[in-house]
Amino acid sequence: MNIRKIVILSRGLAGNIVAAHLAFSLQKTGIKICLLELASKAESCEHWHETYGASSLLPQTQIQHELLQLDEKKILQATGGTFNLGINYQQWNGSKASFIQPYENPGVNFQGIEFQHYFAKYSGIANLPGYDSFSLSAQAAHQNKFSHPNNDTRSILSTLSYGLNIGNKAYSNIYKTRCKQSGVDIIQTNHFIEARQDESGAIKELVVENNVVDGDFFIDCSGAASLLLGKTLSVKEIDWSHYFYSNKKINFIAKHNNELPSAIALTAKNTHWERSIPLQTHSVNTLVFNDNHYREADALSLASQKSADNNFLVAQPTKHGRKDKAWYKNVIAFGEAAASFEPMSISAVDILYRNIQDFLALLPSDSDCTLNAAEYNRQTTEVYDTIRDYQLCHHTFTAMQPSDDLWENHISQILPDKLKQRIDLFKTRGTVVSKDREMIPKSMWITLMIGLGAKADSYDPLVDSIDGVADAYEKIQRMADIISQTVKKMPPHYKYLERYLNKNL
Amino acid sequence: MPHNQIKKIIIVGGGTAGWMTAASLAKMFEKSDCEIKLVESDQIGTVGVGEATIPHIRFFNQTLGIDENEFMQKTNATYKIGIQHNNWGKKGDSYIHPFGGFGHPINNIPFHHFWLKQYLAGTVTSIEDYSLPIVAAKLNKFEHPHNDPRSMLSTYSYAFHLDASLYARFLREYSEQKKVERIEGKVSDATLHENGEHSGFIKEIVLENGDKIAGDLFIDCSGFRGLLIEQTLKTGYTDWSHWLPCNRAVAVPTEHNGEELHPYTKATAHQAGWQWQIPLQHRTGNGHVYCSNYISDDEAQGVLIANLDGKPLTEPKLLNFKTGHRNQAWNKNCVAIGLSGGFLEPLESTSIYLIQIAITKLLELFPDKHFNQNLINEYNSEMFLEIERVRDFLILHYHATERNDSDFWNYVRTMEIPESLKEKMDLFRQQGYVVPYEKGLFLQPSWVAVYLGQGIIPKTYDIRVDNFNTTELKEYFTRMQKDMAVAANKMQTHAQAIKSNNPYPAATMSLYGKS
Repeated sequence: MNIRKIVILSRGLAGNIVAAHLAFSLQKTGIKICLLELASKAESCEHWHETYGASSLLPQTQIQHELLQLDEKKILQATGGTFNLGINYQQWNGSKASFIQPYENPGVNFQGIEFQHYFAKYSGIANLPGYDSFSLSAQAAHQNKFSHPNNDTRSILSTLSYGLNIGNKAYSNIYKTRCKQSGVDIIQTNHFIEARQDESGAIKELVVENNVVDGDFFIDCSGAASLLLGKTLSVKEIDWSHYFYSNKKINFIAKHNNELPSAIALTAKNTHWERSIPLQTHSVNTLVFNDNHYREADALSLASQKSADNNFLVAQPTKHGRKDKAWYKNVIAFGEAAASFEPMSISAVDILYRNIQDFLALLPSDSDCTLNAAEYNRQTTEVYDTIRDYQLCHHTFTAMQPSDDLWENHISQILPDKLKQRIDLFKTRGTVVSKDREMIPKSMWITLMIGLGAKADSYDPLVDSIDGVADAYEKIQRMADIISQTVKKMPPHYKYLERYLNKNL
Repeated sequence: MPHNQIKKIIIVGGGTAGWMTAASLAKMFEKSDCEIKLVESDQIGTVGVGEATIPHIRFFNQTLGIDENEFMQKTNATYKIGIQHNNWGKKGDSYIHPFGGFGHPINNIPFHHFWLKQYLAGTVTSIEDYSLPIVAAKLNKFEHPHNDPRSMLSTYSYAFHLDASLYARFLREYSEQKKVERIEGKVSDATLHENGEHSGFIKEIVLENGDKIAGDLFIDCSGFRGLLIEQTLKTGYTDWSHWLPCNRAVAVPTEHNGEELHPYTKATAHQAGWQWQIPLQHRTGNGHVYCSNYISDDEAQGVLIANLDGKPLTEPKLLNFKTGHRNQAWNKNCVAIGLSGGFLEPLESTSIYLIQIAITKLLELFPDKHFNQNLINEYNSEMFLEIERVRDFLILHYHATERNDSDFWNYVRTMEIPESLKEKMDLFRQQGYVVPYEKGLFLQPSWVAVYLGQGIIPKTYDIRVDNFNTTELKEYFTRMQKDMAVAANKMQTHAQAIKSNNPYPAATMSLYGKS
């Protein structure tokens, strides 16, 4: 039987994005798209995240915006958004210094050998500045500067790579509007009652307050509740909480203390860590901790000191894990209904875009979608586990003082095999080998590990064989100079935004 | 760290693998005091079957700084933009696996789905009309691809047919100029370190004349025998002949018969194997790859002779092989490159590619004297992934067939295939989906060419195609077909191209060109 109607059970952002993408791809095919919107509880954390939350989007998101012809300027205008050149890691490697991880690879490869090997060599024998000194994006972000990259590959300005920080609610509304324009059938309801299944166990209709919605295929964007995949189909949860230290988080809004940053910040403290996503008028912060080591009351009081708005200050449990299968029978789950991650640098929206792409390519041709589900699950397990590994990696190299419980705890973790292999190779040779279709580019793994202070036993020995020392060393020095001179000429982020959006910040 | 650097590299065996390795290392270590020695014997013949290549070889040559036109002259090379497979899906079938894609994706939807919808409705011509290298190949035309990604002429890549022994000689000259020392001699034995950190590692090789040559790193390019990797280190070999049962080849060069020079390799299926035909400038290479369980050597030779286009230039030469891979291509201080590391029949011209990728990965993970096991593990798992994915792609050619005219075809058609391949084929059959991966040689365009070429027609296409206007699509296809025909017709002939000495574009590590 062919699929004629797809129903998306939604609690906001994820559902709207999925519906808009499906509508874009299927508008004229005769397949109906129905967006069944569940109202969220006003005081819930999910509601907070939907209303006040922000997301930091990777550079590759641009492709998704272009596909749906969403204009960057309009997105920034509507969402109070900002440009983002990377992640500012503050105090992660034990020192007070901050390190900015750009989205592109710092330096250049000489003779086919990756830059970090030259960096490792010369920082051992000469006084080189930090690794992020060889990235224009990172250096610009250190000084809160920004400009768009140019297209001239000979110019250092072409190396800039950026993502966007956006306010969730307005971003969600952009997609909602798109859904309406493209004929998505939108049904709102206050209350989900149950999902009815046929004899094979597949879902055939959703019963909600005052309505019954039938469909051939269902998309579960119901958030952590996972109403269809988890509750109805009982797909089991794979728990990752033993890998992660944190068990609580507090979201709050803060005023900008200084100039508008052009990178998000991840700041490590002895008792917790904190993420800050800068929007035009304020930043959206998340404080992450473990309540066995840091009292919830203390965390709340710290958050309230920093908060610009004391409403909704509440510590909520963090969740780490994924469903065993994200696609089961005629139900696929996206977002938190499928997997929950640490609130770090790879946002739920980034992951969602990847999931949508993979799903669209595997859209089932009829209701028997066993093969499609198996293939999607194979790909998605890889995607989810890799992001988990990437996040875990943050805690692995951090060399805080031994007395600090928070960080000691992580170092003693038993790591997943694939992450262990990656780290072992890095420790041996200062490189990583990228895996198939990875969302996180090789350069981000390398800059992360170097930035966190990971030390490799050796660099590529070919560095010593290939080139006269002086030549490469001079080139590297010159590169750092060119970058710092270029940064001087770049405008502050807020000024650039003001001009770009034609408004005062 | 410098005192831990590898100072002595010993390559055992000349031939294509040995000299490609020597040339790469020579270039890499040009300015260092690392010694590179290659031991080979004029008495041991090399297995020169790898005469057809894929585009990656251009990247290899360019990295060495080799002038492509000079290289073509010295190896009697011709251009190659694809492989023609005859009689595979069924007798009388023919398709070309091109070094380029089909059309362009639209909104992330691969082109073949748009084609498929129209094909299932009976309103479109062969998918081969939408791949410029195929259209050009059929006209025996060739032109260097263009750099501008907007140009249709950027949609393909190219490789060469070459005389492998001349290529080895060419690389030998190159290597010797860069201080590689060639030692004439037969290796009779090797000794191991008895204790210390490197206990069980190779210490030195012993030649028949009694000379001993010590080294830090040994590269085994000794061919099927695996002189060091197997005879000394007993690494073990995994046999894949239950999936790829061909185990012999009989080869003979022929005179040109005066026909136009093809810019493609021919692979023609027979009753118990297949026959290659590789046009060089001065002669044509031929060989019959077969499975000795189903046909005798004499019969196999008879089939070869009966299917030659020209006069044989020598007596046919017989080769034995076993498809499979060395369990650890890198074991201790020995790396097996070429046939000593594994063998896959040359159906998709992958032999030289697998040598090249082995060298590239070795350089990426180049050891120091500690030979850290993490590097070795990474290398072995990467190499295994490469060879396994090529293996699955080759199995597809045999398994996706209607042929039932011999015991051989009945076996391969009905055999159990690797689970990973089965899933891939099922998803293509169901809805034209090509399981995506980035690591490995054959990506989506190749899978599409071979699935369709072997006669797997999906039941349906990507639903998203229905979102597009059918009339506009049809016009788009008509226009593309015409544009490609025009572009191909404008190209010079393959024979002219070989003589023309034109400037050539920069190489990439892709089978398909820029787009």
